[in-house]
Amino acid sequence: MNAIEMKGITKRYERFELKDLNLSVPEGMILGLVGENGAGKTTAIRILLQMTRPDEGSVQVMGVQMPVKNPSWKEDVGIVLEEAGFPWSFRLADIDRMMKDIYRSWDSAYFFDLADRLKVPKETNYHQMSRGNAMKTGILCALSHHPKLLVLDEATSGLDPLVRDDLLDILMDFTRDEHHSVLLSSHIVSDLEKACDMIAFLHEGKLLLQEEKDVLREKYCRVSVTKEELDAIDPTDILGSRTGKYGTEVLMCREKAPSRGESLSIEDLFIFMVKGEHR
Amino acid sequence: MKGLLYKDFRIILKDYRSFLILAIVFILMGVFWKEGLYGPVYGMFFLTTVVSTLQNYDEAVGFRKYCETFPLSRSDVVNEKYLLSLALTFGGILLFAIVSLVLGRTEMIFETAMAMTAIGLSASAFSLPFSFIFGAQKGSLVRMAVVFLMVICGMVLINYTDVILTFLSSQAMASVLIFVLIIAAFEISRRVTIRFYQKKEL
Repeated sequence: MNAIEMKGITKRYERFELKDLNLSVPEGMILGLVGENGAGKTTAIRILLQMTRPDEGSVQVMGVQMPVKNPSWKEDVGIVLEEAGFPWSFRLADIDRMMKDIYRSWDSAYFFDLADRLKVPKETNYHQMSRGNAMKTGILCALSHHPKLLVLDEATSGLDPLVRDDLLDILMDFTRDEHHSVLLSSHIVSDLEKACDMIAFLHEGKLLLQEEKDVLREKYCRVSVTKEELDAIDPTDILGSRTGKYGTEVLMCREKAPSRGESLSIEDLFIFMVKGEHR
Repeated sequence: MKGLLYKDFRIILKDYRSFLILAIVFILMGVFWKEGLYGPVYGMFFLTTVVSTLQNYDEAVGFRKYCETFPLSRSDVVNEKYLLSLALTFGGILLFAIVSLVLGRTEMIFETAMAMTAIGLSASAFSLPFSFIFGAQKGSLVRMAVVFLMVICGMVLINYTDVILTFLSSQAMASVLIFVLIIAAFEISRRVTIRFYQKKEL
């Protein structure tokens, strides 16, 4: 079963359009949604949470077909937005007290245990917390009702490398249970490369690909070609190309490459697909 | 919804204590100084301002959006603010009634309680839909206009306190009718807010 299934999602705004998005997060997997700022990642997540309605397409979360009036499906979903939005004067104890009355399965002991592990200060007002601690607080809340699905929207942006590493560890821990799934959106590709099983590229509202990380590394390669070699390649086999001072590099499927080719990191692959010329 | 109520009362006690103190002072002024409707009515203004301020606060800190991640429906979110408004209104009335009864100043207790209910509920009935539907900024412009109109009405009505009190005490049916109309306006406002807020894209 897929934890998230988005089919043919289209959402039109005045200056932006999310076009025919087909995205799925299989149960037990961490899917990294990569895209530049404004690619449509947050719009996709807002549609998922029913904060906004799609113009076309359908969404299913944990087997529940959206839209649904009863919000109880969110009991099984932990969500971390870029800004958590807690009252500024609240400390962890206040947040715990509030959440206890919001989630049926809220686990205070786990909340404070996790806070200790992540070194989130208990006596500091939310407003006075560093960005890292504020984000960790959002993550504590997303995890302390024992969800089966975690959705994190740009949760790593603005965090220092140590905190980002802590966060990735938490995600790895979370997905030790094979029924737990994660959708993690970010424009920091290196984070996703570390933590994710699957990667999806979103660019200007269009899904460029969704593939398992290892398959991506295996499937695509970068090949340096001369002009003659380039002319000999079928243009439909070229996913992107860059011409520089020292020749031309093309991105293509390894099996169609004229020579062995060079493996790419996910970040390079994304940049190539987005910035490289398409034929 | 209980969690949201906890959050709002906690914020009132932590961050907006001064509003609460001013409301209590004005309400007590009405009892001690026999100022007629002036004290309790202004006390209610402060209490209803707390609800509007909390609305703006939720938007400013991003709590309104964060709420969307909770297993709560948008009607729960709207209902909570109306419930808070009811709780504060009746809390104010209860305080006034208890102190009046303790001091034995019971002559105008019913009429004053009616006026406090009218102010408390009608202010929320007017302001909450605008702030939920249009957001804090546009909503507060409308609220300012409503408060301005109410202050003018209040200033006019203060001149006719005796007449109003006589009318309310002599014409029981009229006061009951006003009460029913205000309750109806409050309920209509709540339903309209839920309907529009459910369609709003956040």
